[in-house]
Amino acid sequence: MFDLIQYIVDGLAVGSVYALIALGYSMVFGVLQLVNFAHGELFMVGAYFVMYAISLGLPWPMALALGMTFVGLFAVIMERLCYKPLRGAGKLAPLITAVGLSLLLQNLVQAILGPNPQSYPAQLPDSSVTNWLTAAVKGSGEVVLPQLPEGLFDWGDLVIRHRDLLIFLVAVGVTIGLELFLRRSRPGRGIRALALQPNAARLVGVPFDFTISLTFFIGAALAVVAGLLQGMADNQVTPFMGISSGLKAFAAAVLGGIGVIPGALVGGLVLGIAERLLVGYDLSTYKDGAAFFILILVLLLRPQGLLGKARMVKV
Amino acid sequence: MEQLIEYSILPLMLFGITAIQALGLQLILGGAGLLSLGHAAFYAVGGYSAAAFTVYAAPALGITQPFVMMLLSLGVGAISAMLAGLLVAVPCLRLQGDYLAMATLGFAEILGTALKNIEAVGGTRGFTGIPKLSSLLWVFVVLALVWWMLHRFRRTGLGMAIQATRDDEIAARSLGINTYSSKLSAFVIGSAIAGLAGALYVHALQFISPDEADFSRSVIIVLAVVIGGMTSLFGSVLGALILVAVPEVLRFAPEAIREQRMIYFALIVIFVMLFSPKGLQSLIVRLLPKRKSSVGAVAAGGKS
Amino acid sequence: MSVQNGGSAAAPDILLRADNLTIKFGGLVAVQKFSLSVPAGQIVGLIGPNGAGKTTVFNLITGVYTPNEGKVYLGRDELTGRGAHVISRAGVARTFQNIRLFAGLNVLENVIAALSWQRRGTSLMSLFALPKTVQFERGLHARALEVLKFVGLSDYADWEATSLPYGLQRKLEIARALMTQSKVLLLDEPAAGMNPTEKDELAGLVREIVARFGLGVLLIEHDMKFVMNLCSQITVLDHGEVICVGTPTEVQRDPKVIEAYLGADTEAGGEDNSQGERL
Repeated sequence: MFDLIQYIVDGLAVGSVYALIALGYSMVFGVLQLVNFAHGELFMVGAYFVMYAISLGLPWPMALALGMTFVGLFAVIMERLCYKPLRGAGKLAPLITAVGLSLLLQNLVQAILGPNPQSYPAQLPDSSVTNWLTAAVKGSGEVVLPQLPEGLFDWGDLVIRHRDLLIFLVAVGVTIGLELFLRRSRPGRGIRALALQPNAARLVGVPFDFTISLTFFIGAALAVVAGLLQGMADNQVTPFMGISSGLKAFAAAVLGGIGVIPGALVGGLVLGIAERLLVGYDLSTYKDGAAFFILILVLLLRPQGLLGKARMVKV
Repeated sequence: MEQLIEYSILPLMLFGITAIQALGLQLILGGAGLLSLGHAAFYAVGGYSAAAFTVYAAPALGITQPFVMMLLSLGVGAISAMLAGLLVAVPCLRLQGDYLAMATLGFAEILGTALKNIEAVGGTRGFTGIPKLSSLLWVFVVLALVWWMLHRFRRTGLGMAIQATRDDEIAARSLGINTYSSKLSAFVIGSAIAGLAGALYVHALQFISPDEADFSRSVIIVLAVVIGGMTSLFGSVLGALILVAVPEVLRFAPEAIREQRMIYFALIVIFVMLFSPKGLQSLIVRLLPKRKSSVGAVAAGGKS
Repeated sequence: MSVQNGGSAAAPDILLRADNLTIKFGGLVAVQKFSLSVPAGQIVGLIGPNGAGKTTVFNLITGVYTPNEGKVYLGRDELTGRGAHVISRAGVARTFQNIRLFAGLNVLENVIAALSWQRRGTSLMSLFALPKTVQFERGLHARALEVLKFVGLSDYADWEATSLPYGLQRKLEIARALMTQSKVLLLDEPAAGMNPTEKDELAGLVREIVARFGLGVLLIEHDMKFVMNLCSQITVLDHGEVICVGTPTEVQRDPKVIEAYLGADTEAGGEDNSQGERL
């Protein structure tokens, strides 16, 4: 019995990372009805970026902020160059483009940085540029690696690691913050208006392109947070982390109700717990299939997701 | 010379099999406008079922004649892939939104996981000991048949209904077309064709592993169809040729270039979607001498 | 020529009947207690200012939307809540205000597609191109050519549908609807974007369709001259409610109608046909 509770608690940490990625899928899908297949790669690129920035000697909060900005802007440019020209060209064209982008990013990172996992601190290639960068950033100080807290709350049968708790709290905090932003702030309301009624939103003066860019930016920035957390939890990053976690996060978004912000959190947590349970009960070979099994079950039984409402079809 | 022939049989066979897969996906992608990211999974279903048929069922039924066995295993491959397609598509196609792409992908992952855990078909090691029944001739005869059938199919009533559904669902429904069953038929027929390819593959290489259901294999087929030009059958075959030939040709190229071919393919796909949705086949068609009347040419130019 | 066989002899009375249709989107009532009937062999007009809910009425009748209340009948059969394709097969065809042609098909194929569903049962047969299905396809092909000839599009059969001039695209939509051999035809602003000559020609075509095939036609149109000339009965819709039903002369004199249009004029400034909207 205590095993079960322990597994659930452990699953929350894994699920929190899925949740943070799922938020981006959910937001973009809500606004454009597009499965941004390349979203998982943004998470991966973000994890690399932050790791390299830290290895160069930047303090981690600054590295994270830089990474969120860089990957966020990257997502905005990607949308402008590759998705925007295809608006109005049906759903298939942007979807295929997204698959192409995902493939491109994954293989580019692999070609430039190598297919093997890299751990903190990253081995920087020895070149004049990196040397100069290191000197410029680091100054005299040592590289200070971000450490997830190592302690634990120990109640005998139930153990909660501080790092798991931290990851969970970050995910919950981000979700609440995002929900507040979408409900209270003006640009946030613009995003919601666009998701509900694109034409009406345009009529009442929601800046269309800006709002879509903002959606991509926020989604990507949150994926970078997930990337840092995952990178620190596993102490490594790989070019393939995007595709595997990304797809599972999509399943989580659908499970919670795609387009619904708290749904992403719930979906991510449920998926994380389900995976942890499978591992706990010696079914770890089925772990990677679980997300998709859940995805298909949800599509069959409750396609609007756990927290979603059935939507009226627009004609 | 003999060596060269020997050497080129396998790539040719792989080309033929990839072309059959691509033709099946063309019907789904170009014909019905649906994205399947698990096409290789249906191919694997066909391959595994066909192999299981010849290894387990055929001896039990007393079928020994190689030709009959191959023919029956093609049927088994196609039908099992068709049923798998039905299983995945029925829940997804009832929904608004592009869940099909992700559900097919999910199906592929689940199938891969399941195959690794079934010992009767070799588990993670793969299914071995399959008799060699297929040949280059089989592959190309099936390829020609599939190509001809699909070529005919576009002009049939169902073919028209599928294309009408792709272009405008609301208009299609207003004309009495059941858009759900149009999409379902396209998906299921396309999956069955993938199953045929699977049956040919296992009886040529005498081996199949769960990796054949992998996402990366499905991506290769999507790349072939999109790069070649998803609006035409010729484009799919051309795309299959490119996808199979490029690695072969790059065998002699420096490693750096060879390793980066996926980057180029990905770039081409993005380029095709943004600037030339009819794919590379349209370049070739443009170079060929014009047969159509001037009216047809004007009309064709009007769209792009 | 026998494009249609839903003959005029069968039903001299009411073909299509909408009974107290109501639909709400969220809290907004888009159409309220809408009733109307279309007799065989007659052209009925549905007019009203922009945003009055005319196209919503079409969507309710053709099954794109399901009404919250009310019923739709074709002859004696109730169609309410059936799928759009079922309603079409029962005999209600329509065109669209924002033209919806099949971009990937040529003109002839657009028309053929309209009867493509008839071969549902033989989908496997069509894959193998059996003689029976080939024969059936030839029949469809010939019939589609006939329909194209009737609307005057024969010369464009192998054009890509979306490369046709605007006016001809509207005609192609009508051809497509005729191909379904329906009993009732719903035309959503068929004359929009046409010049006066084209409009006259279109009016002639609509009359000929009614005369030859005995169809009932329901027509949404902003060009009042066009409507008044063609229709025997007119229903006026404003803010989702019927404000007047009558002959063209009766409708033109009704003070409520005049007020609805005068009140709406300020909003409808951007409408492409606003010069034709005056009564």
